[in-house]
Amino acid sequence: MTVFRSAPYRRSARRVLAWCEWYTRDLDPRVAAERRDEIAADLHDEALHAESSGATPASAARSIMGRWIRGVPADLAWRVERLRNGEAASPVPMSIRRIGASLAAVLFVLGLTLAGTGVFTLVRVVRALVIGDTTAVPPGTRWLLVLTFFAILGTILVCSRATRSIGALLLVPSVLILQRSADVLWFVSATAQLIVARMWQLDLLISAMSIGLAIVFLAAALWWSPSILTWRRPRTPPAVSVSTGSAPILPASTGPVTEVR
Amino acid sequence: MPRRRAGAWLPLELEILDCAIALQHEGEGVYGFSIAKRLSEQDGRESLIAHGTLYKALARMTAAGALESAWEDPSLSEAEGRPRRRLYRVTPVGQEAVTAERQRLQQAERERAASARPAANGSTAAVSHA
Repeated sequence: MTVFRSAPYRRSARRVLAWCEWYTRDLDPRVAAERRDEIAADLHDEALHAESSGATPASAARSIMGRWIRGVPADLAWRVERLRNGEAASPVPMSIRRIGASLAAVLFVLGLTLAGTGVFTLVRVVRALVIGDTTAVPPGTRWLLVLTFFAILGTILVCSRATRSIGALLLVPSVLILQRSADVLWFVSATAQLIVARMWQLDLLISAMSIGLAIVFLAAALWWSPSILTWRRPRTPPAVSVSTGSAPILPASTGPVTEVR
Repeated sequence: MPRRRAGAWLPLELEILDCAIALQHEGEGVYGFSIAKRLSEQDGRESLIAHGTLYKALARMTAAGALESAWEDPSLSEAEGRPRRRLYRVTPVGQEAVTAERQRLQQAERERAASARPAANGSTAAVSHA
């Protein structure tokens, strides 16, 4: 039984290579390929060494996994260093990438807050109906339901790079949740009635907040719109290998894989 | 995290350089796994150095000019049916770093011995006086 053909070795090598693929993504293809090839050669050499020293496939796999996990912080530090040195596949500088990431985080939090406000108000309406605080659904509840749905969907879409622009656009109308919630809560909450009565400038405050949020969401949608960002990073080319013609790290599937428990 | 001074080497990097020089003298190939194996033999450890730690250090030393690297001739690896290795060579800068470190250690050892001697003499004198 060889280490090379054993399932534990193949599994661990696959995991290490998948991790390597992940942390070298969107780096300069040449830098990424060099790192991948170096790791592939190391995995192969370790399996050779395990075979020659009579180690079991399971212990070889354990050693590989241990080396992988212990090296994760260094791998990430190496990646950050490469990106700082401008060795990214994308011509977009790090500062612009950071702006994009921060903007996405801000939108996520704002979207979540709006959706939370909508959900809270709707729950209060349902509760009021159940306990008999009100006999009819307050006006504007249906709109609130639709806007809350927009806010939830927009927040989810903002999480993915491909759909961020659409998500931000969906969040623009959902800023009306603030006004609608205030209106609806007035019918179902004594506290809301008290606040509305005491704060004559509440409407003004909500309008200003809604306009501000709408501007932020619209700006983000434009920032992420494909036409503006045509210069954004190209897709990482598929697994370029600098070691042309060299043998693969995992043996070809000619023959059964030995399963070692 | 404070930035490292240019030309300053971490203990691990000096160990790697030491191993690479030893492998070079023995006529062995100097590549990632051979260095990892030699490091663990040298330290008497059972586990090998982590991939990330080793290759990050190698990349840093190559960038700093202590090592040179070149990909192995593909015909060699093809003949042996394995992936191509990246071979390293210690440069004069690397040699100098290791020599300087050895000198520093020797100097520190001498200073330690020198500072231990008067103390020992003092205690002997105190004993004889008593």
